[in-house]
Amino acid sequence: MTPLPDSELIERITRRDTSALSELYDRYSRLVYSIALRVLGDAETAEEITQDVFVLVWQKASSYDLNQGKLMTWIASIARNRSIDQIRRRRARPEGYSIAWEDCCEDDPDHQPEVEIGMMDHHQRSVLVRSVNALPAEQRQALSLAFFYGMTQQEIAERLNQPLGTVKTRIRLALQKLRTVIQPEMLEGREIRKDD
Amino acid sequence: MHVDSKHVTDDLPALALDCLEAAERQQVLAHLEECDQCRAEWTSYSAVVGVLSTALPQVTPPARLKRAVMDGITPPRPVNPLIAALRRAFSGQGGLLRAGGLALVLILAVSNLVLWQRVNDLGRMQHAGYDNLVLQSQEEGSAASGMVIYTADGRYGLLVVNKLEPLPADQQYQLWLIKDGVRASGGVFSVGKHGYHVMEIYADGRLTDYDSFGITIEPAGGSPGPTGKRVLAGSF
Repeated sequence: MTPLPDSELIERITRRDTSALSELYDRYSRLVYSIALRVLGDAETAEEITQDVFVLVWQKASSYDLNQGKLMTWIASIARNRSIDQIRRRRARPEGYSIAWEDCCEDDPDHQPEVEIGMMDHHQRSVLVRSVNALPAEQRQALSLAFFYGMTQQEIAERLNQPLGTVKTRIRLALQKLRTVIQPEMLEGREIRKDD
Repeated sequence: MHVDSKHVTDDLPALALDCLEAAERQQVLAHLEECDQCRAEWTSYSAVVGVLSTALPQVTPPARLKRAVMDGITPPRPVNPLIAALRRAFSGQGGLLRAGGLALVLILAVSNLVLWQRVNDLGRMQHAGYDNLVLQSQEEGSAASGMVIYTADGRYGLLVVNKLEPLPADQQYQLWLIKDGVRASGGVFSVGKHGYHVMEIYADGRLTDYDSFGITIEPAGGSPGPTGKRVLAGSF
């Protein structure tokens, strides 16, 4: 059976079709759980966040605008925001999961996972990971502290004992560089299917 | 801030990563309200951050989690019996009538706290082991009102709001639980066309341990910290 495209899934969810949410969960639960787990470093809370994200998608599906990007990116953003919110609430992050990009996002040419519906393909991921890892170490470090730890620029500056302006520049340059290498199909509504 | 004021281009990557300080964030968001150019830039950086999230190695969650998610969208969820009783009071058959009654009570509460204290329903509620905190409108001339109704031990609570302005699809209201100046999200919600909504509050600790509650307007899905206009607030 041909999987439904994201746009149809989200449309069905707005019509309160629970089977559509079930399919969406099958498609993106690994993404959501992985983000929460990586940010929080705590499996139990990552489960809570994952549940929270999908219930929110169920409640707010109508607010998703296809023109603003892929459903996957919208869901990933919700997952990260919720995780960062949680980590700021408890003001601590357990150890256990590395927050270094090079540890969590290796570009392993021998490891080519099955392409999942809606997810970026191996080549796209490889381009992205290589681009992140090609950033100067100090930019990568600042990006990691903001992305995974939810630290503000001021907190990063204090943590690294660097001037605030320096940290701001590192963050800005890092994202500017990544924006130049991210391909349009990663951002837009192209949907990759298993049978493509 | 007006469109002709200085563009905030340099701060947009940090805004997309949500790593600006609160004051900076407010300034940048205010600029984005009126500057299409910067808003477009911010959207593109936000997309980059979203794509970055998808590059993380994938981990499969426990199988039981799917059941929890599906149960979570299929009411009724198992809740504290006292909370369930409150939910029944404000929803279901006759709920609109009761909601209307509650709306009237809330208006009275905002306009006259003393009178509110004399409302029989509230008296019974307190007698039954509930307490409440009235949330006052923060906008002059607004009829919006709210109340946090919680069990006497502070472990469970409901937020009831009325006459809040319905928001566009890309925005939601967000409840903040405030203690020692630190704001934790208590949940996000939208209101119907009459501005009425009831929401169970999720908190890490007892609701009575917080100093105050506030409600702000945030992007759909909520924000890590308050960024938008505060519409209701109340303190213990």
